[in-house]
Amino acid sequence: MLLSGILAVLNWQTILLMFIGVIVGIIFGSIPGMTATMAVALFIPITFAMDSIPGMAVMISLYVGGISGGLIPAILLNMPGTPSSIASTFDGYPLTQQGKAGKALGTAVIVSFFGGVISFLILIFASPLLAKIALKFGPFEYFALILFALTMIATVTRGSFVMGIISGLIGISITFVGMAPVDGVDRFTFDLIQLKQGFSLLPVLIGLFAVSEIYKEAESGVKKEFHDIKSVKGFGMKLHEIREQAINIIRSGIIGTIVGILPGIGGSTASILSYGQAKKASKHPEKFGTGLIDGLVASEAGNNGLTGGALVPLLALGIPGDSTTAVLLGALMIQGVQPGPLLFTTNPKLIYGIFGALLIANVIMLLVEFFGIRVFINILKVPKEVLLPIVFVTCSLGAFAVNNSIFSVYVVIAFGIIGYLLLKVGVQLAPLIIGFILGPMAEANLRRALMSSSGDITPLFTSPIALMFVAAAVISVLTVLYQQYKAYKNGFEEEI
Amino acid sequence: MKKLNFYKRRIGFGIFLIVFSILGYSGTASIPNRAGLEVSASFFPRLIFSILGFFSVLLIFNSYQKYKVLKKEYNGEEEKEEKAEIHYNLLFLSLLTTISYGFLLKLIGFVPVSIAFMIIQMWIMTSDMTIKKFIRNTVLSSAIVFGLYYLFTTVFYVPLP
Repeated sequence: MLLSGILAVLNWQTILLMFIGVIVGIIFGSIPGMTATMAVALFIPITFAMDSIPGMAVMISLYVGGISGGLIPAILLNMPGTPSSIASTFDGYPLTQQGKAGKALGTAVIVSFFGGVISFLILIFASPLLAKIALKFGPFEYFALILFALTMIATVTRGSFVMGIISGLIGISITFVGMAPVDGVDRFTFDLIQLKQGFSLLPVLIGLFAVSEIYKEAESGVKKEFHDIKSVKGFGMKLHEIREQAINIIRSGIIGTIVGILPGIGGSTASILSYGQAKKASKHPEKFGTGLIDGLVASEAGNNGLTGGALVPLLALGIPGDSTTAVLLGALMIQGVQPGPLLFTTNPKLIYGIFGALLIANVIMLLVEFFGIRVFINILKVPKEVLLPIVFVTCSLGAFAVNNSIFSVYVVIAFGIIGYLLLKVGVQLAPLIIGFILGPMAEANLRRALMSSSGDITPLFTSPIALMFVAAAVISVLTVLYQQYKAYKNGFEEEI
Repeated sequence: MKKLNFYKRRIGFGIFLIVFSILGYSGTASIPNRAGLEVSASFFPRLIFSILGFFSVLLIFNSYQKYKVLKKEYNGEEEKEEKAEIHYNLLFLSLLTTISYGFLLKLIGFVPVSIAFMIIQMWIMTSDMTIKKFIRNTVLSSAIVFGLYYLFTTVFYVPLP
């Protein structure tokens, strides 16, 4: 069945369209302000005239390209192209600053491919079973998982633990503006209509990461950075390095896939969780964030692992795993396909065609980005004084296009200023974004959970799945506190 | 090693956060509680603002400890070094251009405002501006903005200001 699915995709017309889809997806993913979701949504009309398998193959290509395209600006410019590439900036950009941009890009491309393949393998062997497990997740289980993900704030924080927690809390508090989850009550809107919807992730993300960079550069007098752009040889990652990173890749790919299976969690959580686990498992956790290749490997394998995982609830249950698969669901319905458990028996060729498209899209992504690295790396040759204004206009345009609202542009600029001011007092932006993304999910699930149990919190500790994640969260925080205490006792300069 | 002024800023930031937490917490009093809900919409904000307030106090305490230690070693050179490192004029101009961009975008339109912004911002950020570079920047800005305008309006059907 899998072979017949792959063969259904293996014709020159579909492969050509998939090539174009991956390239377009990468372009969308690589421009801060544009996302894989946008790419898929904008190209749905193209699939109207196509059969279901080639149509879905093109959509999958856009999805895979879009998710992996975010690594390019994340590594080269310290600006995540998509929310799922946030964790790639932690070690990717420091590698660029060390003159290893080619190696960072090459490594990220290869592990993205492996992450996608791992999720493909899990998908083909276990999707109906995994869908059943996903159904066991109620609000307590979701809250426990998100609580565990929130503890990643402690793990990804470099230096001051207190500042990391404060940063995460600031991120969560920003989400209080707008309608409350569950009951839709207005909070902190000051009677302004524009604030009723709250702040969208994209304008906040590009404001904090991209626009603040403009102010930072202006403040420092736009120092000319001479990047020693070494020519990229081969894939940028040697065989022995792949072997050394094998456990990291597999673990991160599995984490990404599992996170993808759970509806509503998203790629940013996948990459952050993978990064956090890689740091905990590392013999040199203190080196994470300074340009350690392990961090980049974890982030990229994790976020590409999500692509297959997100298809599990989509195909098996008809529930989208993230915003992009929500759009894919629309594409499926336009094709007259009703996703759900019966689809595996009524239309197995389509299912395996989609699986096959996922594998082929990852191969195409690997080839396109392998040759593309030599082109992408030339971004570093563009002077920052030329690049940053272009990025600002593109970001503003992308933010405007999300809601067709000028308010989003104001949000970009406002958060650019806020991001710059926070950097001046040493607040890291990564924990802030983690709090911003996960805060509303934590609140919604906690409230739903407590409402369903009439205010009783004990199911959080009696549900095996929830207890597992709560225990993991506690261990995660205690581990970080212990590491900080050890470092302090050993006389390391404590940046509190 | 962080400088004295950095910890001064941190103490100030900590005080700001305490005020922010207090205002946020008191702001939750105006959040209505829909009937029949065990957990109201104000529960989570109150929890978060309380925790934030606690950590803000911790931040002030820790920063003050560091500040006291560094103050003993202070030699007055730090402020001069910091002033020399920061180009306040470029920072102010960049803030002005980006904020103006936001407000003029809807009034004047995407194409003229974006071209003007890019030319001006490139001028601000280029320390060794020449006529050749100015012409290059103008051509580049125009090409990019027109390209983006065409892409969004004609290909993606996204209307722009």
